[in-house]
Amino acid sequence: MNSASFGEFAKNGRWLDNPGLVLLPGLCPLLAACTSATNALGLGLAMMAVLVGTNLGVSLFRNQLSAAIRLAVMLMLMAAITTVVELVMQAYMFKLYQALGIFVTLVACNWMVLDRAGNFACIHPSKPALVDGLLTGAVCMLLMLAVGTIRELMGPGALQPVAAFLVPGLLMALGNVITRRLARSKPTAAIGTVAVGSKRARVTGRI
Amino acid sequence: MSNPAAQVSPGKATLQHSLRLGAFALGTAALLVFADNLTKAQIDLHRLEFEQQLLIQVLPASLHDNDLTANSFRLGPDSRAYRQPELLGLSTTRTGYLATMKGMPAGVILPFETEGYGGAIVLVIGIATDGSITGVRVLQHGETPGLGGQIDISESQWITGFNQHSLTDTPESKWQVKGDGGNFDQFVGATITPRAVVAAVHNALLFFEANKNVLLAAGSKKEP
Repeated sequence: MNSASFGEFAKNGRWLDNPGLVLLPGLCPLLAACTSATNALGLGLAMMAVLVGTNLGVSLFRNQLSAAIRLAVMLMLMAAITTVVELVMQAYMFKLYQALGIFVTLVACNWMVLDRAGNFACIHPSKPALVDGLLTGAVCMLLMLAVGTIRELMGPGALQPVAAFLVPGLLMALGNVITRRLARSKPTAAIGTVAVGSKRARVTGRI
Repeated sequence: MSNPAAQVSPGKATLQHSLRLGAFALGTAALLVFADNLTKAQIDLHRLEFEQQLLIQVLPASLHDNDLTANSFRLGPDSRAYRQPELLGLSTTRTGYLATMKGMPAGVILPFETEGYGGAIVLVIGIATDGSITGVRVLQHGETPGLGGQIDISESQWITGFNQHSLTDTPESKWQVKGDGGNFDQFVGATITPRAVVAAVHNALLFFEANKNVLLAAGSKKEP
């Protein structure tokens, strides 16, 4: 955020490097519940809340998080924030909670949250970490909403379970086309990979 | 990237890490307690509302004319008032209901529990006075959606397969899933869940049989 302008940050971070489109497997555990626009939106919101909460928490305590305990603390925070989101959902959106069931819990072990927390939030101040969480969450939510809406329009039928993979597959192809167009129109400036000095391999976007 | 623990001895570093991790764990636990306190009342309210909606499904309005919630009784894992309360598998005290038609007992709704693939499954069963099932529904479960989750009416009609059955029309050996030689359907991909539910429904009927008189008299005493 320091060297790159916001626009570039948004483009690199949220489009070229977007975990949702580039590495769809991150969304896979959640796709099964995206059977309708409402469910997808609900789960997307939950995902966004967990992303923002975890990013903010990790970023606030980033100076206390030495390498030895970072992963443990991040996982603990993810699980706790997911539980809080689950409780709030149960208290104020009971119908939605019932429809989503176990899938809200699954957000806790979504590596995309861990990726943002471990690769971004733990080396950035809280403000960019918050923005990062919001943007990543928003993109995830839009993708899930797209999948949910298309599946809802297809109606319940034989194609439904297949559609959970077909629809995001098509979206991913579309994303790749746009990315290639972008790359062709403008020779790419080197995209700074985030080096955290951790032992974990970087798995998102460009390696 | 700050590295405060760079120049300390390994032992000291370990202690520091442990203390720090412990502090974070405490903080996280506090957050959870706070959130739980904040939402508990509201969640309980929703659960109760949901339970009451299900009551009508397990004992249709055509079979009774009383206010079920006004004719409720408590059932626990060791209720002294009943014979063999362990048949219901309850882990905590739950609510049962007596249905009446023109002042005469018409049936009961009993809570019962079993252990599925994903932890406890809480159910309710409606039983008419003749011992036949008027409906079974799942209140809470942690089964996998699409697999064991099909015990829930929102996913599949499987649970309605118990309707009208009783201990008299289905012999003991037939209270099993078809794969085990019984009368009840199973579903692909899940064996533990339907087996557990079929066995639990059978046990609930046995409990009703053993406590018929007490159960059917339970609510009528309270009536004015």
